[in-house]
Amino acid sequence: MSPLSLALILILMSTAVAFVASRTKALSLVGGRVHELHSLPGHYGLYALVWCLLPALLVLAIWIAIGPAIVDGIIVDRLHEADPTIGADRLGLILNDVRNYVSGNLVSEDIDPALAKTGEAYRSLLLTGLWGTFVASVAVALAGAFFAFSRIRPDMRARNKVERVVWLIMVACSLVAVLVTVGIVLSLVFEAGRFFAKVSPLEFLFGLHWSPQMAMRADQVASEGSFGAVPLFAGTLLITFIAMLVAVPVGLLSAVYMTQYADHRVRSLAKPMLEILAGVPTVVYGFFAALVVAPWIRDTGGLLGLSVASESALAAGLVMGVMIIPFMSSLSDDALTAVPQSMRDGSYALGATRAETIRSVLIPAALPGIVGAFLLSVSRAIGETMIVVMAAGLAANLTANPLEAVTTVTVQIATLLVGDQEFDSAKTLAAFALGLVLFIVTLSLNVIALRVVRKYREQYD
Amino acid sequence: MSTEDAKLKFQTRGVHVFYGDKEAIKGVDLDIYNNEVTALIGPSGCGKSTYLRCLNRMNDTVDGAKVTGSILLDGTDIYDRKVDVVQLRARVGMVFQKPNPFPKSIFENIAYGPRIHGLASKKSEYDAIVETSLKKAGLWNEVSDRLDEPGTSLSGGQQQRLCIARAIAVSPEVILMDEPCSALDPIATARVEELIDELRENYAIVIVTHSMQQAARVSQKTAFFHLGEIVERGHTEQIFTNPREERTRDYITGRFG
Amino acid sequence: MTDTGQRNDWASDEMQRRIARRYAADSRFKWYGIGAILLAMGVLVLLLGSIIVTGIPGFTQTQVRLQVSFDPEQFGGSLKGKTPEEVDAAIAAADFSGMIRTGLQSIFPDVTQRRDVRDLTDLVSSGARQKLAQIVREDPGIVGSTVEVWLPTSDDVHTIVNGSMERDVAESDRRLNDKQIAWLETLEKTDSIRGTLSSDFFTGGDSREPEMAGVWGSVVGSFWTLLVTLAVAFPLGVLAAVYLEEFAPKNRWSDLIEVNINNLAAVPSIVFGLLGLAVYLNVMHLPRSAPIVGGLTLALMTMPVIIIAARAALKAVPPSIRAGAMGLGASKVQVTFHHVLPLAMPGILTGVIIGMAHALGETAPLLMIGMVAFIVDIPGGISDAATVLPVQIYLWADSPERAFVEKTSAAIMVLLTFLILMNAVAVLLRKRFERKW
Repeated sequence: MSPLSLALILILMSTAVAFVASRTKALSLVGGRVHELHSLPGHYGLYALVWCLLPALLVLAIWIAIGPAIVDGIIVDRLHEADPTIGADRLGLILNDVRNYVSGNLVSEDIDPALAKTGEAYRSLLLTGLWGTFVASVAVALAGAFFAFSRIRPDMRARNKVERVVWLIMVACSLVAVLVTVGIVLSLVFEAGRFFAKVSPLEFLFGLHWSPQMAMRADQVASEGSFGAVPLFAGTLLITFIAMLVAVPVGLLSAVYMTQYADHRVRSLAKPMLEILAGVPTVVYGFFAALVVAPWIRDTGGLLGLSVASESALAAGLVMGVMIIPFMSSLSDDALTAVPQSMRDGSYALGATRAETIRSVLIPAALPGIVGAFLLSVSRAIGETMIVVMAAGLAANLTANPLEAVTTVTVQIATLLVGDQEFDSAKTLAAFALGLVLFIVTLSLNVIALRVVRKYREQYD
Repeated sequence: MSTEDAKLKFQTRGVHVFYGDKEAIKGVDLDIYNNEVTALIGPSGCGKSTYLRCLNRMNDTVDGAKVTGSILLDGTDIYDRKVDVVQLRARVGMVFQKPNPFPKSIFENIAYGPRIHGLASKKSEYDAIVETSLKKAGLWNEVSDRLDEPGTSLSGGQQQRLCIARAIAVSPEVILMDEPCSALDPIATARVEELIDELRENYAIVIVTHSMQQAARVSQKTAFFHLGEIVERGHTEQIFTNPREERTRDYITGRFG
Repeated sequence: MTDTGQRNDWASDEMQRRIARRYAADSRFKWYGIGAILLAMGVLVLLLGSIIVTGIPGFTQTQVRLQVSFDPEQFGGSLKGKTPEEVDAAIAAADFSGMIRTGLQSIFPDVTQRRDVRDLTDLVSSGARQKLAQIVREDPGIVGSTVEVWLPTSDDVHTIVNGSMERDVAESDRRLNDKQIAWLETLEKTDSIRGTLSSDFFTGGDSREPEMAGVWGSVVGSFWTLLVTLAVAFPLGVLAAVYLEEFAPKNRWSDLIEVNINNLAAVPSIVFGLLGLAVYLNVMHLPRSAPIVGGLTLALMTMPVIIIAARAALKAVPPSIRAGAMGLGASKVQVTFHHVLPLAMPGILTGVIIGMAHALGETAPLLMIGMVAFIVDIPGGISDAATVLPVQIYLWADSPERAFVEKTSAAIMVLLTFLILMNAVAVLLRKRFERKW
């Protein structure tokens, strides 16, 4: 059993003891007359529980979060001391080997003695850290328990203190959402920064040639990586455009039909149908695109005498469009239902037909909501990964022909990062630069869309 | 044929309205005359608005609503299959409780009706319709210099007069008003009431109102609804000064409502 | 319209024609809507239909009947009374391929040339050896006897037998040569070929051989992953929602958090994968390919969904409940945790289940954190290397063997079944506890 699991068990046991002991102490202080206590007996138990459990867990969490990084840092310092000329790339490789050595994942029979030595040092540092954490966390738990136990008085405001902690925990939970955003931004910006140190941002954003196969060794020729991302952006836009050609009319018209024409029976059939369409995982759509749609388009194109790539942008775009139909439809549905009934009545009362009312009153009135739906759908299409990974190609063609294969930002992120990889090559870091672009674009679309939709809601509330 | 008969616009007999299983109107007989304002009064939920919405078949848009009985407009049953609901609504205009201008310019709000019915073809004709309608609704002087602004930019009272102008623009024969002043302040209410009195010259007007004073001020005939039936109908003066029914007297004097 | 009193002539021909045109436009418009719905419905039917049609053979395994003699020589004598370790050692040393070859040659005694023998044994799956090993492990006493066993055929035989590959095409266009087809037909004539429900598919892990590949490994991987997701996202999401809905002051801070959560819910899932890769793997050095990393990554993605659903459920609890409890002297925390939260729980759970169903179908972020490895073993915990159901589907869809197409479709059917079950539970929960205040 690892020291951390052992520590956790000990902490939980002492917490249980602290809870029961404190509750009993509170009760016995007033001779069992609960009303003489400021708070309920359980609150005193909880008070001790909080003091015993939370600080100790914090110690454990700190080690899990930064412990390995500290050990890495020490080892790197030592390697640096031993050989000051060592390069960052080389350091990374050694560190990887060392970690594999420690976890027993090193397959090779003959292990370099130097590596074994560093590995042992790494292992002992790690163990020291682990046991140090063990001692520290258990000590903190016990200290907390004794502290809380000794402070228990009948007039202590245990409930208020416990509630204060509950409040703090809730605040912390809601801050996690912010932390995630910060984490996304930091990790993307940091790794993308490393990429831009190797490849100029101008080349990345405006270069027309994408072939990320980086030379593994300096003497290797003819496979210089080039990182012009324009073909990726163009491919993403082409597929998104095709998807929108499907999703916007079909989604909008079905929303109009469902809110304005369909009776209860049709709605109760069509709504679940759209929900199923929305619930199908994207990997299934990707398989459908590759198995059914792409061959069908290729064969149809062949009959018409067109040459269609087996992984055409059209196939991926059409299927992505189908995936987005329910999204577009339900958001448009919301926008249309938010238009007050009085607006519709006003138009009908003038003798307008349903189609006239929809076209000249409802849709203009719901336009901001529909625009918001459109923007969110575009953002969805741009960020969609599995359909394009499975149905669009890897070839970075700069073309507007939907029958050719194109590649997208998400496809490249996925392919650059799947499989074994070194974390210092421009190839893998490029994925983070692409991720940063993707994040910025989708975030802007979302912010604008949510703002538009919110403004629009306020208008009718 | 007496003058009274010549002015007869709507003749309704035995009107029942069902919402699903619920009977909202239980056999209403009422006549509505040209050049008169007919006020429908009664406590909330008595069916007066429901009855009003039968007269231009607005109940058609409500799921599960069913109307029986005969409603004759100029002698033709409006629920007859041959009657076209779109035309009917052009002939019988309606103004709602809450002003509901479309999210369009003032000009387009008024031009909308004539446009869908094809009542004009040239820009100048639309200009003329918009101007006359706004003048009749007494709004022309207030908005003539900003016809391109959205209808929603007007004040509540102005919006309601815009909605009246919008209804007038398709030259209806009857105008139905469903508590047209309930969302307005007293000054705006007074303007609209004046307007109703002026419009009486050219249209038959039916107005649902909660305010007995308003009914007394603007109408010539009054019908008192209670629990889906008409308790009493007659000349407004008579209803308010000398009601025949006990329930009418109680309602008018404020004992219930 | 012009002067007062002038009426429009509704009965005029021109007006009647216009009305007819308007009604035609109206019904055209209606048919556009019906067309849109039918189109969506048609695609759904096509999608599910093609998956079911290709997927059903994926649940089956084609087997061949062989007489296999467990020659004691191969096991170093009888295994009776041996310890399990000795049995295992004997099994490891035994030549099961040879036993299969002998069994086949007893049916086709005239096949002697080396090439032909290899072609013949290729009819049987290479996984058949493990099957024999398992038979011996379960009953060591069988050594020394000859028994009739049904062994899985190779995927090429499977696709020919179930008809997803044509056998009447030129030899170069199929995976089996003419001789192999002839042998296969001989076997079919003697009823030595059968198709059965594949237990390997339901109980096995991944394999390079389509006929041996199973979904169980990835189902278990999905289970561990979702367990981690639930354990992290549920408390975090609910507590955050409670804070934002019940406690947070309405100021710029809570506005910021709210906007933040709404945006997070719309961030592409692959970006969460990048975050997981950068933080969990590169900074925290958690094990690659493990459910704990996958689960933590999906938790970040699911949390905003849970927060939004939980807030909606909390909002639906009427203020009178809060006022009532408050009036009895309960503290704000007590009001929330004793009254509001329990009342909102069904709604919250519905949202949680839907969020988890979403996480179950998610693939892209897991590719980033190495859950695409080829993993044969069934994962035993949250830190074992594992893959999940949708990633397994992706891996199989990428495999060149024809037989993996049907395995992919079959795995999709398994995934969809789980999704339908989860959504059904959510719907039931909503129906059961739906409450009108």
